[in-house]
Parts: sequence; C-alpha cells; structure tokens
Amino acid sequence: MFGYANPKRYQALSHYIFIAAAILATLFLSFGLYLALIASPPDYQQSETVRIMYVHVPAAWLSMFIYASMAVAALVLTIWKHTLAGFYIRAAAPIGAAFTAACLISGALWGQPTWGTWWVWDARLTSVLILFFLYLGAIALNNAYDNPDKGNQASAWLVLVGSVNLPIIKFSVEWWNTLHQPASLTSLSKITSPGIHADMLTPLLVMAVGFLCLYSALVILRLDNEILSRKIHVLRLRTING
Amino acid sequence: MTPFNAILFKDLKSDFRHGGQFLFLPAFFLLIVMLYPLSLGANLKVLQTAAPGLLMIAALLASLLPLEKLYTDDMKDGTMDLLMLSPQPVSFYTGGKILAHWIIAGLPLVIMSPLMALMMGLSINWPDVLLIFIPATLLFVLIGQIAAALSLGARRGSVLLALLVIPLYIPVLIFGAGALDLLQTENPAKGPMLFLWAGLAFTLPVTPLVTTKLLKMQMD
Amino acid sequence: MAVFSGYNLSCARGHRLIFEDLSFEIESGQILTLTGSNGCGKTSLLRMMAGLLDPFTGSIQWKGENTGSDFLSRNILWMAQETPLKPQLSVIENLQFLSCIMGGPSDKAAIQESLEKAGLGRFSHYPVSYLSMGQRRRTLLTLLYLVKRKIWLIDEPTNHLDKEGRDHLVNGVSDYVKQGGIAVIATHRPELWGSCTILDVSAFREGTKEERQAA
Repeated sequence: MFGYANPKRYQALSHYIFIAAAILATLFLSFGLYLALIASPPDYQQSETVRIMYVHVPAAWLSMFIYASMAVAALVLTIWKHTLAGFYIRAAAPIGAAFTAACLISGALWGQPTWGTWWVWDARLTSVLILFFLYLGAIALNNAYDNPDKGNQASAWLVLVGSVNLPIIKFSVEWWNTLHQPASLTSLSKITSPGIHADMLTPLLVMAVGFLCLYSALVILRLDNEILSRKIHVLRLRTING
Repeated sequence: MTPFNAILFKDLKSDFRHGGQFLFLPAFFLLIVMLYPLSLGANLKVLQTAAPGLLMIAALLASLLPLEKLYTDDMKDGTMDLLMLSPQPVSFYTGGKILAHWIIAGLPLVIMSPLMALMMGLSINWPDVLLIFIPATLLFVLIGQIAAALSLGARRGSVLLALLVIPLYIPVLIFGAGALDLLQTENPAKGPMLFLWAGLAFTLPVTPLVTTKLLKMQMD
Repeated sequence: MAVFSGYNLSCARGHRLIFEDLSFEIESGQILTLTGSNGCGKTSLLRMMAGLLDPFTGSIQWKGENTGSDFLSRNILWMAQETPLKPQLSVIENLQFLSCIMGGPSDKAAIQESLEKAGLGRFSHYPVSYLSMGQRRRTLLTLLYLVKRKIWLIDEPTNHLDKEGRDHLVNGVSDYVKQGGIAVIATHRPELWGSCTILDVSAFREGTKEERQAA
C-alpha cells in the first residue's frame, strides 16, 4: 500500500492531461453555451425553456458515465488491489453526485414550466434519485473509516454491489412505472418521442463533450490531491521510521 | 457438529434466551402497521389501496433494525478473530449466520404477514401472502447481510447502514408491493412474485461469498 | 535455524510506528514472554504472529518459511484478552461452539472432561452470564487442552485469575512445552513462567534503532 508505483510519472502525465482537459472544457463549454443559449432555435412547444436541456441531458449522461467508470475502478481495486483505483473512486464520487444533483435540479426547473410541476414520480427521475443515493452511500463509506484504505475498499464493494443492482433497480422502477402510470406524463412522451432536430443535437453534443472535459479536469485535480495527501502520510511514517 | 450448525444454534440460542428479537420484531411490525390507520384515517377503502406498499415498508423497516448488531458483537468479543483463524471456510460461518438471521428476523414477519394483510383490509389468500413475504424477507436479510458486513467498524454505523441498504432494497419493495397489489385485483400475481423468487435464486448463493470477502476485508 | 521466528518486524498504527526492527527466535519446548509497558505493542506482536495483523515490515517464519494462513489456522491457538463467550449460552455450549470452529472436538463428553480437569465441572451447565471474569477466563483456557496445536499465543492470561487458576495455567503451560510445544505469552509478570525467554517489546519503540545499533 505504501509502495505506490511511480507517482511522479503519473503526476507529470496527469499535469498535461489536466491542462488539455481544462482548455478543451473551456472551449467546448463556451462554444456549446453559445450554441445552446443563442444560436439554437427555441422549441415550438416549450419555447425558450428547452435550453435547460443542454445542461440537463449532459449532466444525466455524465452521472451514469461516472458511476460506470467507478464500477470499473472498483473492479480493478478488488481484483488487482491497485491503489490508484481506490483513489479514483474517492475522487470521482463527489463529482458524480454533483452532476446527479445538477441533473435533478435542472430537471425540476425544466419540469415546472413544461409539466406544471417541479417533480414527477416517473421512472427516469426516480432512477436518477436512487443513483444519487448510491453516490451518497459511496461517499459516506469512503469517509467512515479511520483507515482511508479500508474506506476505499468498502466503497469499492458498495459500488460493485450497486452496479450489479443498478440494472435491477432500473428494471423494477420501470416496471413500477407502468403499474402506476401517472396521467400527467403525456406531455413528457410528447417531448421525448419525436426525433431530435440537428439544430438541437449539435449544441447538445458539444455541451456533452464540454462536460466530459470538465469532469476529466476536476477528477484529475481531486486525484492529485488524494495522491499528495497520501504522500504526506507516507512521508510522515518514513520520517518516524528514520 | 458442523461449523454451520454450531453457528446457527449459537445465534438462535443466544437470541431466544435473550428474550430476543424474534418477539420484538413482530411487535415492531405490528406497531408500524398500527400507525397507518392512525395517520391515514380508519377508512378501509383508503387503507386497502395503500396496503400493499405500506405492508412492504413496515417489513422493510423491521428488517433494518437487527442489521447493525449482526456482526458487531462477534467483532468486539473476539469471536471474529477465531473464525478468521478457523481451519474451516468462513462461508460456513456467514451461511449459518444468514439462516439464523432469517429465522430470527424474517420468519416472524412472514408468519405475521397474513394477519397484517387482514388488518389492512386486504382480502387475499394467506398462502399467496406467504409466497410473497418469504422471498421478500429473505432478500431483505441477504442484502442486509452484505450492507452490515460492509459498514462493520464504520463510524455512525446505523445511519450509514440505512443510507446504504435502502436503495438496494428498492426492487424488493417494488416487486413485493406490486405482487400484493396484483393479488388484490384477483389478477394472478405471477409476474412480480416470480421476480422476487428469481432475485432470491440469484442473491442466495452469492451473499455468503460476498459477505465472507467483506468480513475478511474488515479484519485486515 | 529456529523453529518459530520473526525478523525485522515493525508495526504501524495510524501515523506512527509502535515498534520497529524487532526480531525473535523460539525453539520447540520454549516459552517466550513478551513484556513491556502499556501500549508498547505486545498484543499487536501476538496478532502478527497469529496472522491477524500484517507486519508493516519484516516476516514471521516457521522452520525458515513464511507462515501462511493455511499453516496458521492449523497450528496456532490464539487466545486474546477478550472473552469470546456468549453470556446467554452455557459454559459447555460456548466451548462446543469455539472448539468446533477451531477444529477441536465438539462432543459434550470430551468438553465436560476437560472442564472437570480444570475444576470447572460443576459450572458446565450454567449460563456464562453467571460466571465471574476469572471463571470466564478459566473456561476459555480449557480450550488450550481441547484443541491440539503447535503454538500457543496467549495475551495477558493471568488477568482476573486467582492464585489457584494461575497455578493451574502455569502448570498447564509448562507441561505443554515439556511435550515440545511453543508458548508465546504477553504478560506483565514473566517471573511466573519459570525458565522462559523474555522479550521486552518496549525496547523496540520507534527511534530506538540507532541506539540499539550503537550499543
């Protein structure tokens, strides 16, 4: 655990990736926001409120992407005991939770003018809310132990159990939704069913790439922090050891 | 005596002689069910429509209670050390533990369930209720085992445990309540009930292995 | 080459080292007592020997080979300071359970017999909650004779014991080592154990490496 393999090389590399990701994020996000807020046409049904989608949908994509990446890291940690994977889970979980929260909040803001209500208990919203709690569980478990390595391992196991469960939860929630179909959802199906127009798809994809770059930059920052704090821990032990 | 039996009987005996949970949990179950008419009104029609979900929630909450204590005693008094040093596989221990846990914390709820359904105004066959509650309580126990082993030795164990385990209980809640609901409309509740049994068939063999892994991780 | 040995062991707890560069060697038929002030790491060293705690550095060996969990689970008897007895169960039920998981006999007759030998026969059907701390400890110590192992690792066994219980234990240990067993005992009273090697764990606390090398 203390013989972390070549952090120097990783950090030199991560530094360049961070700079690249940060620059790309700035470019994509500013271009994407320009497209989303100014250049793209308003929706014929929802008028200007459709612009919330350009934040909401990429946030939703990322919330799922980050959890999937954490599941891969969890697998790496439990099988190969690679310490960096544990750091990754610790670094990614709060960002993932933040994107999930952004998705939920922007969804509520979007839902109010479109459906006339802040919150609808439909399958998607409910699944995202459950995902949010899975993130919270991982964060809580990460910090619940005096030994940070044990926290990482426990959290990795929770992420694994969660990722096995996630399809089941998703399926059960969808099944539940068909059982209790709320009446107000007709407007939702109207929004989602027609194919999305290219004028809207382009800014959406640009924003999604921007979000991904933003996430990469943030996660590298947090990862570096984790490595640094662990290095301090090791250095202290070494000075004591003499 | 095999290690599996040894652990099973150790847990059962110490619970029964303790004036145990097997008496206390059904009381808790009944208590929660009693809260529903008091908060929703005694109108049987209202209760009837909400009953499937309410019964499952009551069973879920009752299943949360024993989780925190599950492994902490064995951890504190050093039994866990001896189990880890045992020449027999630790899975015997977790297996015995799971069965004992269900007999103490699941079976009483199963036995109570037809009565509770009756009190909530559901007019359904009691064997059907049992067929739903048996896999549901087993799943609560199995998933709870994993969460208990996961949060063992963590700070603020009980709150953390609820946060971890409730999202994982959601499918059981949905299919359990759905099955009860379909029974009520005299629709054969095969679908959701079979989902529960399928979930059980998947979870049952995996849980002792995962729990063992987690306990070993906690002992390091 | 010693039968049971450990080299360059150090133990980390949180951000500090409890002991460092500690080595020991024991032959069959010997008693090793671990002494030292509170918190110096006697229990941690015993747990390391039992394989319950990974050493920060160093290794523990049996006849020159590193001990693995398979070896440990068959050859070591670990007796901690905690008493893993369930208060609601009777003495005999507790011992049946513990002996069973440790791979010893679990039939009532064998356990009753060893309880009689330890002078606890009349308690055997009492729930453990009725027993005093000393009686609980003596109950646990009967496991030493029920489960046959090559190495005994015992942590502070004389706590709560009266003179009779202590004499009984000391005789038991000396009989055991006479038959070629190895006993490692953490204790504050090494003089009790007759001829034994004494290892003062507090001499290996952090930062003492240079002092020892100079000396």
